Amino acid sequence: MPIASSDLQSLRQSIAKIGRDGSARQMDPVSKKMPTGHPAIDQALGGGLARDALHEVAPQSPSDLAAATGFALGLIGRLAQKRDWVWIGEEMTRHEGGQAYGPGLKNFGLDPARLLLVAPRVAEDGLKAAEDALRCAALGAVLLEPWGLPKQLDLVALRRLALAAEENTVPLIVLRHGGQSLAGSLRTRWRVAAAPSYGRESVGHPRFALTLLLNRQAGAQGAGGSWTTEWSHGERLFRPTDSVDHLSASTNGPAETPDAA
Amino acid sequence: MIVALDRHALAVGLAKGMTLATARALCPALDVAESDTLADRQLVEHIASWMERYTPCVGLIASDGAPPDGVTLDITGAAHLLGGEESLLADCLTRLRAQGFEATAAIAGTAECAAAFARFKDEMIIIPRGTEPQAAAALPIAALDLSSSDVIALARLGLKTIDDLASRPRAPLAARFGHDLLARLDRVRGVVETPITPRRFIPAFITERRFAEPIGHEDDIHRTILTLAADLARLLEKQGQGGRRFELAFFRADGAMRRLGIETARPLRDPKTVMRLFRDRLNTLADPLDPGFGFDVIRLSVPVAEILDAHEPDFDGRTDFAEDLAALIEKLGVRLHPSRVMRLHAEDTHLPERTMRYLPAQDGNAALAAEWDLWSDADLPPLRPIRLIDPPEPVEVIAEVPDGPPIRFRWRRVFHVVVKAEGPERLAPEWWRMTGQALPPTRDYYRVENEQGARFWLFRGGLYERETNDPRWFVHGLFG
Repeated sequence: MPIASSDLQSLRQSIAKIGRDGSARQMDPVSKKMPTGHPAIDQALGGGLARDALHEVAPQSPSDLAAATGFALGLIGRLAQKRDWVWIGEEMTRHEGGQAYGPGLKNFGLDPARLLLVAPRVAEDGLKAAEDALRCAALGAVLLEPWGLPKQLDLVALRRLALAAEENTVPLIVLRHGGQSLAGSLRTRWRVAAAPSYGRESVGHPRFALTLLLNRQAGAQGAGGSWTTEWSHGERLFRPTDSVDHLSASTNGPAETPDAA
Repeated sequence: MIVALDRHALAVGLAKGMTLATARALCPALDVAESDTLADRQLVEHIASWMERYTPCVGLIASDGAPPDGVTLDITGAAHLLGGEESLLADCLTRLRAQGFEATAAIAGTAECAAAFARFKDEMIIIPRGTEPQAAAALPIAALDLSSSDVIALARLGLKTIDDLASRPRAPLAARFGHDLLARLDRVRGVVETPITPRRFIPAFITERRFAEPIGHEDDIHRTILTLAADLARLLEKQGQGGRRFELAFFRADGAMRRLGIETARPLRDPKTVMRLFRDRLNTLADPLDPGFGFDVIRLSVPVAEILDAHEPDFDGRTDFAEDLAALIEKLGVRLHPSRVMRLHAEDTHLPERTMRYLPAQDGNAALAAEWDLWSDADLPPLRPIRLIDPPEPVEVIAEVPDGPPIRFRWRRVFHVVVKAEGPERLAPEWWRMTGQALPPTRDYYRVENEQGARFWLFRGGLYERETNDPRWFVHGLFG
């Protein structure tokens, strides 16, 4: 039976990968990636966000905290699927930024029953809890929300977290409130700002203006980028805003601007 | 007034209840210290805790109405561990004296009898079982711990010892002094037994190790915990039980003791897991375990146990996930505190801050997806925020009309221009839940979006003109 040369090529590549790092798990790096649903973003990420790594999400300005939270939750909704996930929110973040709200999470497309909420008093406890959580392969994702930039979150600590994430293929998203960017073993770094939702009168589905500042994704070109995306909680994916605008304009054009009618 | 005094003061002729002036007159060189009932109480409690090294059943004894000044131990079945009653008593007194206490002690068939002997006989004494009434005969009337007027009345009758009382006909005594006197008499004579009221709940499962040479090295301590956990596992397994709470007690030779507890998310008996949890606990102690010159008794007990059947894994290995997760919850609970590891639960109410409750994850209330069904709507944009600001924070709002949506508002010193607003969604107070309280104002909720696209959940407290003329605004949540 003849074999297409492209098939043979990919087979060779796969074999080469096994040979290089000696682990069969690495054979298909794509399975470790979670596509966001937004074609341009997925292309920049080389297929999707790595599940076995650390990612940083931070608001563009203090008023964008909720948008950054929304983006992080969207990623987690996709990463965790039906598994449990952990939100480690230092006590101060709950006071300052508000606490995780069950009905809102459900509205956002996440099952509140899958959430394990951890409220450490200080940053140090949060870090330890994050490492414990990353070592639990049953989890779909871990969200760590430190207050400010704790000094404990240094190169060594991040490296430890990255190793734990890699070993168990549990992704860690660090949601910063402000302060400086983390330095160290991050796979990607995102800045998030709120973007006006669709429609002139009514408040529509959540939209985010994203900037990818750091991109160390395997198979990607390492390029950053800026996109605006809309979170569709029904489909649980990020979709490009132009497609939504276009879709709505073409299917029910007049309804797009009810106030104009 | 003199509250307490030592042996030397007694010898000079001082007594409790004497005024200080009288005492000074009798003995000018008197050393006086202000009494501190709280510290006394703590000291007695501390001694009682330390006494648990002999038996977990330790109670406090007190004279009528006075703070406790003694400790009773139920040593049934415990004496042989220290080579018999005599050596237990000797060991106890030697250790107390080494700590600088003056103590007397007695062993008898009943707690009250032993207490009477300890109070009124100087030497240590063991009353053989069954001979309590004869032995108690020589005790003074004061051993009955009666009111002072009764004691004086009895003394006037020429009754000075227990024997004087016990040999009288009971009926006239009861008529003159009440039945309480006879009851006390019976208890001190060991005829009637009153159980010791232990200070702490006595666990059903206990294992302990005693060391001739106190241990203090971390490795030794860990090894001991592991062997104790293994012993405990055998006890638990026999009964088909697992521990939900474990408690370690470390007794130091010099009188200090320390308790460490862990709570688990599910019944547990695997020694390695128990060990691991305790090791985490030990490593995260803010105030680390101080072995001093070493611990000579370490006890592991299970105050709370539950039925635990042998583990049977599922075909698809899903139980592994559940197990892993339970182990994580447990670990985090030990590290932080069980109340800091939570699950969200929906409540049947529409008051936003009450629709949800955080409950400790390890209480076993598994979160249910169905609880939240009310809030799913795939088509509409989210109606509820992802972050709830609780309690709601007041904001300055400019609205076109008092009962209209906001146009601009200021929150945390930032000015927001509202571009889109949806509402109001009127949430009335739940008058049926309020009885006898003033009804809080009705809330009109708006979902608003500012120029930059940030989305907020605001509400106006109070219906304009009907409930208030100056409604106040609050921000209650943030949308993604």
